[in-house]
Amino acid sequence: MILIGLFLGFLQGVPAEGRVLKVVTTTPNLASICQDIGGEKVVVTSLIKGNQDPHFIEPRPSMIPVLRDADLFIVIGMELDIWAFSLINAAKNRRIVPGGIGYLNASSRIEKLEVPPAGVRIDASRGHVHPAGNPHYWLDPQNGVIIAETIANKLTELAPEEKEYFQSNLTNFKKKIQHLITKIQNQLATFGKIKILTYHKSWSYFCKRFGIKIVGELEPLPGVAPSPKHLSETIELVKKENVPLIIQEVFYPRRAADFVAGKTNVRVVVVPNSVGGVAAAKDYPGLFEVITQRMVEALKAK
Amino acid sequence: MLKPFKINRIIASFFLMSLILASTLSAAESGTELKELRKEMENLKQSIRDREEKLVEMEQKLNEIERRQEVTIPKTISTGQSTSTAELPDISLIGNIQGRFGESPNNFSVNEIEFAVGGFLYPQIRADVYTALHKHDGEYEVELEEGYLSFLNLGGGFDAQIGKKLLNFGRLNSLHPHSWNFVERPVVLTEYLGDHGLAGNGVAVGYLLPLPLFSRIEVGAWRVDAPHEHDHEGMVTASPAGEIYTGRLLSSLPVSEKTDLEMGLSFLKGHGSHYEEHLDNLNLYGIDLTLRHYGPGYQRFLFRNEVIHNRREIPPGTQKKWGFYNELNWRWNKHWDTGYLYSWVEPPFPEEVREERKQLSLALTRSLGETNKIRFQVSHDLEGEFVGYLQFIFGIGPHSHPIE
Repeated sequence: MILIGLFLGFLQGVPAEGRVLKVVTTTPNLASICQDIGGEKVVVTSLIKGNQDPHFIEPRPSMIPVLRDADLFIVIGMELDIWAFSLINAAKNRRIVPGGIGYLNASSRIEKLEVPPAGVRIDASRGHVHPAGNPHYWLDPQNGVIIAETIANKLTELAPEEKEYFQSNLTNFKKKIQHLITKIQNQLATFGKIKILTYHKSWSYFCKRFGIKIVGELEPLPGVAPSPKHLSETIELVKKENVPLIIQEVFYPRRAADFVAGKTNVRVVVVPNSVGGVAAAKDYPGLFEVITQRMVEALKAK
Repeated sequence: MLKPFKINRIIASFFLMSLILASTLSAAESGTELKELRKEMENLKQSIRDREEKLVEMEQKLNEIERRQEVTIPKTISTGQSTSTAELPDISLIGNIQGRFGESPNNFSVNEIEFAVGGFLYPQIRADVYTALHKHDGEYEVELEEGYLSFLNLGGGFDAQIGKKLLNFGRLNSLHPHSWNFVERPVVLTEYLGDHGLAGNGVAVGYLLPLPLFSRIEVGAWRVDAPHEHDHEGMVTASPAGEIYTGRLLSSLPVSEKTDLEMGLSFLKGHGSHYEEHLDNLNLYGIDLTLRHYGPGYQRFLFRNEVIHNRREIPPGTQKKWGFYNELNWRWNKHWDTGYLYSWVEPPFPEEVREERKQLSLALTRSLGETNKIRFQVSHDLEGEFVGYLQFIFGIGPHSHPIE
């Protein structure tokens, strides 16, 4: 069994030429984009599901075999999926270690928001702050294009003979996303300047893209549960700013949002932030269609 | 002489012909201009197309240069525990403040402070050091809990660890107390592996089996220092000591998308802690099962069982004893979890020396963050009394463990 294991271990070092690339991603969003770019030249597996909070994942031994055999491992980065590194250490796959040919940080070319200024102390007194900035960048579909370009470049590096195929898929993806952005802009334009409250500080990129104003969060600090005092202040804020919507992800508890909604006219809109977060969010463009549809329905109902 | 009318006709004809000629010439010129304009437009379009292609080519070159820069001079490298721009180790501090109530005297104190320093020395080679300040017989003592090098990938699926380490026997022994779902160690582990868990100096070699499901086998050779002497109100204890050999197989079977079943077999061969005084050979055999199910949101259900058979050769005769624990923990949201722990053990002594021990604990834990918790626990201990615990676990820094 050891000899077989050694032989199979040697095969792990064989380049990916001439075979389908095995790609593992931390989140379903990365998996969906990679599938769009890689097409039939890749087999993609996401370690987590769309209805899970990517901050809060217990790495499981059952995740290790798929990483052991991966040609490429794509992470969100910015310390959002830091849990994945214990899996890299256990997987015994030199390709996918940080800096290796099969490791890709999808945030490498993203223009990051909310990067703490230099000289500002970052510690738990500020809640769960990411020193590299707000990591929820995939929620701007234009960043999805950048992610797709980054993935296309990496796939081309691993399988240069498929460059034209990946580029063709990338072009189609870009067109799809451009059409999507225009469609969402048109849908939301009818409501003028929209103000929202969010549960967690995760919608900055989405709101910047579509001109939505975030007036506050239910969490007093990132990662800190809503407190009675903060909810009381939030209720006053909602009334003062006439906020129509609270947007929160499917995995957050509804109690705080429902409490605020019960004291004001705000409507709670539960949306996925990942592909597969709800059944209708079948792929990356579909994710935004679901988010927008739910927001629009709630705005129309007011 | 021509008549005026005829002259006018000639002049009119002349003008008409001029007009026609001019129009024809003009039309001819416009047609030429049009052709030339069209040609110029085509040339411009081609020029734009060429420039667009050049732009795409330059963008790709720029991407390639940026990518190469990231690989050779990365802005950030994740060490697996934190993001660092310099060769700084991960430094953490974990505190465990504990109060016991219900037995006299009541006690509330800092139970343990753990310092952890770790980092990569070389690609795929890590060093991790854990020192602990813990209370022992009323006094605080500093102890090296663990200090080892990890060779994460020796090739072919092999890895190794060298140094002082909590041994990989069973599921719980290698975990630090702040990772547990309960305040105290199950009595079966206290009796068979020691009050502070079983740690030794030596080497372990592991192999990740090339199977579709996670399976890892590990063998180790250790030297375990003579354990602390703990006198449980006149009772003696025995745990492994001297030269120890361990073996463990752990497999994880994904029963469904949301459910994993982990199965482990453990083996230990060595001496009992009295081996320097008399015959004391020890074999331990363990089997552990852990079922994890992940529900919607943050829900997680865990059910764990460990059964250990203790075969100890001592002068009065070979003692064949059993012990087990089972643990259930349910986390129903991001911040709360609850559970029970039940443990039963036959101490590795003749029955007239030590009786069996039982333990039942019920715990409720509030997580303030990933490494900060408050725990309330009620336990029924070996004296038949109820003991209450209030525990504060706090963590500063990126300290985390390998997959637990």
